[in-house]
Amino acid sequence: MKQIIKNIFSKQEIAILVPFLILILFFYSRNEAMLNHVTITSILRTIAFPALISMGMVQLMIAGEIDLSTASVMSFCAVLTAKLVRDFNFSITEAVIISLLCSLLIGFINAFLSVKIGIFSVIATIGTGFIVRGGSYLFTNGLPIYPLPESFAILGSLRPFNISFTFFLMLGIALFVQLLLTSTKWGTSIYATGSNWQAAEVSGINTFKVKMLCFMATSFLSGCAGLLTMSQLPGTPGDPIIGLNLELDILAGVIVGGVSLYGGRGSAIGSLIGVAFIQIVRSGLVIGHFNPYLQLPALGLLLMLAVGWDVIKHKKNVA
Amino acid sequence: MNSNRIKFLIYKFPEFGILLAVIISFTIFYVADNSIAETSTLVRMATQGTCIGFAAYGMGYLMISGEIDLSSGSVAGLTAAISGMMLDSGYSELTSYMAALSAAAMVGFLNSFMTLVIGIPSFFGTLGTSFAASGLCIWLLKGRWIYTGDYIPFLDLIFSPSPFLDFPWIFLFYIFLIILGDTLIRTSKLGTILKATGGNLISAKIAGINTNYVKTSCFILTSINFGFAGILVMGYGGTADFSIGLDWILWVIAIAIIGGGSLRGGVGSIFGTFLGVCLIQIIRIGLMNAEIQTNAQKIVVGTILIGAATFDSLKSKSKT
Repeated sequence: MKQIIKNIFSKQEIAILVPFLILILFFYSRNEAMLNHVTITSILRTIAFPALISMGMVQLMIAGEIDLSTASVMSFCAVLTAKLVRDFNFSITEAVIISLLCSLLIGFINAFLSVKIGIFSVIATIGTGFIVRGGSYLFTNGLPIYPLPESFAILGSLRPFNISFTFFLMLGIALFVQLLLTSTKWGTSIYATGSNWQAAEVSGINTFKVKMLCFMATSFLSGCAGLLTMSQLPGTPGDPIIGLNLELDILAGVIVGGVSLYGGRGSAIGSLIGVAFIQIVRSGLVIGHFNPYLQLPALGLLLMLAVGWDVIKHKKNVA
Repeated sequence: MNSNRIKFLIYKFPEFGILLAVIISFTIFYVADNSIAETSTLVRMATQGTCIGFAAYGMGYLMISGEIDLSSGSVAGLTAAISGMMLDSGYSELTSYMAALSAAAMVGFLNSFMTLVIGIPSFFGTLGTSFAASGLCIWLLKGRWIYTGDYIPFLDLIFSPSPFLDFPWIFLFYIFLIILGDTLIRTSKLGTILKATGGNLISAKIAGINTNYVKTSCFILTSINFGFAGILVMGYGGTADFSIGLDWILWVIAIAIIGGGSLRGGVGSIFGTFLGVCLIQIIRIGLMNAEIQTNAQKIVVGTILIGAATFDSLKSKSKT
């Protein structure tokens, strides 16, 4: 019995649920509004975007790389689509396809720099992130692009069960990624690439291809998240500040959810819980009448704790 | 033969290539717009360059010893915020700066603790402290702008023009530090110790170097430098606000890597970081003079960062 309990809690995805519930109860005890209908739906709507991106990030991090340009890609895709539609008379479909192709290209460049050339992916993606965000400000002079056709808001204004379209899209993708990771050959090759790429290479896995597809998936999902954010904003402006500082939420969420910085460990459900955890902390600090400026230091601290925990666990496994 | 000689030069003096890049870019901008060579522009370049240069200065040492620190901007912002708040509530200049710099040193110590004791790779550890420090800075300032222009006679003094071509005193001090550091690295035991620590940790340990001590000192030195740079920016602008240090992460890493520092440790040069600062400043001011949007700077510097990192990576690949 003891062993079973130990086994269950050795999975970080499940272990994280305990502080998760405690936090919710704590914030609930400070203010009962924590668990009312409005709060919960707004939290679910907010986590949809970082969670959507984290579904690419989780694969990428299991494969042993990282991407810090996600939030910039969000902004870039939204702005590019808006620009193409308003100033160059593209139809919405064409513009969306072009900007998503651009996001795939950015993912490919990230992969090429990190894997083929061998720059650490942290540095390479900081570089591409700045270039991409610089691009999106340059396009717009820093001002939102509007007015745009009302049909931009079609997806964003859908409210199934009063939540949002993005949330259900994200849930679907999360399930899909979880299945991919646990029960397909693709999943196995991601884990193999991340835990020991030489061994993976020897056993016939093209690790560059695996990492490249993971990078491209992350960028693609970031692009989608950017477009969906735009579609959900009132007046659907192509605003370059879309996704500003969101990379912290994504990264912290994924790591809190049990994905290892060293690659080879993690799950989609875990990162979903992790991203939700981050949002609970953010919203809880506001609802629980704490100083709202505490959000960022709290997240930074949480990220550091999660990283420290991950490293200690990794050391134990290696030893 | 001739091309071999150039290759040898570049290999032996990595600064040679950067020097060439500095000269070429300066010439290009000069041809496009003469005003870049005017004294007033040069002074402005030197003053801004000193601020970012101090931030990159410590990174030069740290990267030779084989670690990296991504918390530059946040630590600069935090230090500026602390000293601004203390000045505002009536503390003396010296006390405020000392307190703020000790906070920066504490961040450096935390970085080294995470890297050396817990074993988090410095990329990730310092990314964490970066988020934490910028959060702390925002929390402290709560969106305020603190006007400090009236309480900083010392900073005003070091920013005042010196007899030498009207460059500010702090710039001369920066040059002095660069020469001092470069000479130390090239001629004294310090250079050997740093390079051994970064190049081959295990041999360095066997040779009796206390590598943890070396790295901890570098981390703390780097953070104090970031902090000092933050205070300088505050003094230059006369206000402490959350925007100090924004986007520095890009500039500082770019400068350190352009300056010949390797992400794999063991090599680098302090004079190189100076040339890196020159290159970045020429590009910033050049683009500004050409009335190109400031956002284009990010693109250019991001591209340079990736280019330099690519060069560094290919070089270390060809060696092995």
